[in-house]
Amino acid sequence: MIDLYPIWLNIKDGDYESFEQLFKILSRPLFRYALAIVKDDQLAEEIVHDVFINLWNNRNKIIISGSVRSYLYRVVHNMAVNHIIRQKRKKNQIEIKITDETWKIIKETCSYDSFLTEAIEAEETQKIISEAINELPEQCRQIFIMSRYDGKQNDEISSALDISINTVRTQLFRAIKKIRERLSEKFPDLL
Amino acid sequence: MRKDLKVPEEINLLIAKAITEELDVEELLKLASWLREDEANAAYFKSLADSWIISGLGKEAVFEPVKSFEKLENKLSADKKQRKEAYIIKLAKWSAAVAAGITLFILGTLIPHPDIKGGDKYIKSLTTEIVSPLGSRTRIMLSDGSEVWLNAGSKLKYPDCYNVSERTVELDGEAFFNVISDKEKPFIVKTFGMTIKALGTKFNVKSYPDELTETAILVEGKIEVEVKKKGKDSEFYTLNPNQKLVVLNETARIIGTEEIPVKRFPEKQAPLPVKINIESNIKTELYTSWKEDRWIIEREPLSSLVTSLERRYNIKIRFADDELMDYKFTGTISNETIDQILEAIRLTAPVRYVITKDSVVLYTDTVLKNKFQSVITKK
Repeated sequence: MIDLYPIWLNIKDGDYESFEQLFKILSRPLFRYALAIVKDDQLAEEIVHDVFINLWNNRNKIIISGSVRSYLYRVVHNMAVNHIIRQKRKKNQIEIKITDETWKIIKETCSYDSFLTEAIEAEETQKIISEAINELPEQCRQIFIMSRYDGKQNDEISSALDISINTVRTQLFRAIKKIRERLSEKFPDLL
Repeated sequence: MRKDLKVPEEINLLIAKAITEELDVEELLKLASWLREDEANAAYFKSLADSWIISGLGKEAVFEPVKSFEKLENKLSADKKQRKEAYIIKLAKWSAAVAAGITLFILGTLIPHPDIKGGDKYIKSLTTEIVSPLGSRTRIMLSDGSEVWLNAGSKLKYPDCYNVSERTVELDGEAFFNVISDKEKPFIVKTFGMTIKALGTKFNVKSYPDELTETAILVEGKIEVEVKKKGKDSEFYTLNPNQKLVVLNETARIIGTEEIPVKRFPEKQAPLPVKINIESNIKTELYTSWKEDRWIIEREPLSSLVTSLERRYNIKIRFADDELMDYKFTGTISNETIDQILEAIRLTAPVRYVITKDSVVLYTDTVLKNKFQSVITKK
């Protein structure tokens, strides 16, 4: 992996070319990461843009101690998760005070971890995922794909396949467990 | 992986709901309190949530960084001003690169000479200027047989009438002189703040406009150094072999780097010498070996070593961590390439380096530094 710190130093010096260079190196994996969280191409791209615009506009103020790569993943992660929380809040009009506290716990639990970068940028990740999906029983696989890649809500899947919504949930849970098993063979840091 | 963790079916269902984003408030509270119960619970949840995120990478998605960057640029249009700045810097870098690409150029400059004894015509005197660009050293043989080694990034000027009635040269930068003896015509080197008079001698003079100090080092013979002082009479010093004279100015004459147009001080604000120091019994080879292929350094701080390397190899070196500047190095550099030298630095000190397209960046090797520190504290 390229050491991005010198590029970041150039950006801090106001070098626009280095900014472009950093974008071209990291925007795709960051986009894929954001997409994995928000499930919407356009939104994922907007998040990546926001992160980079903020980076350029505040290059003098931003202090990155440690890896530039991890920093950007962490910012993308937080923005994407915040977006989902905001969306949920709007949709369900949940009482904000309680949920903020509670979401904080969940967010802290699911905070960004550097091994995620590794998993996202590793070439074999995609292969591991598709192998794991292929190993799933047919119904399980179908539900997973509908949920994860076709952006269907659990109730939509339940009526489309004419099964109970709890079956959808248990099948999804089974799929994730299977994928986790496969991933942890390659990435022991997963747990 | 903790396979033995007993997780109630109810919680697994909550987890499934959490990652498909359909928890209601009550469920959210329930899950949160379960997560708080035990670190193992949190780790279990995290590994599943992470797996869910990673599994999203299986989705086909088109993303073209180049096109996306164009979109980003539109959003950034409010920042056009800053971009212009960046382009100006780029342009300046480019012109510096062109200047450095020319190995040696001799400029003949026509300088109007003051009238001579009532004559109404100008007698034009030709001045020769020899520039040794960054990254190269130049050896010059003057018409009287004296030799001059001009270090990288230095300039030597002398009139066409050199050696007719006098021998005077002007120096900006660093040079080593091996002067042929001529008692009638003393050899004179003028720098910004010094005038050095020599008969037959070997000496080194350093007067880079971007450095605080000017130095004269005598190897053989005798030289007389006149240090100009603003508003006062000049001071004269006589140097014996193996002596070093250092003039410390309050500021450098030129402020700026290649990227920023160089600004000279107006005459009025020219830096004043604040300290003049003479040191004896120095190892002159440490100061003159730059002209050889074998270049000797001894307890040289990285900050000044870097300056020499920049000139010698025509590169730009930057420090990501200032603390590195104080590391001292000793050794002999022969015909090594800059990569070999950087590698040697990396191997002998907690320094790492990265070569970017226009500079080398040095930064602290934290792991190695911590190791060093533990050795130091143990004593």
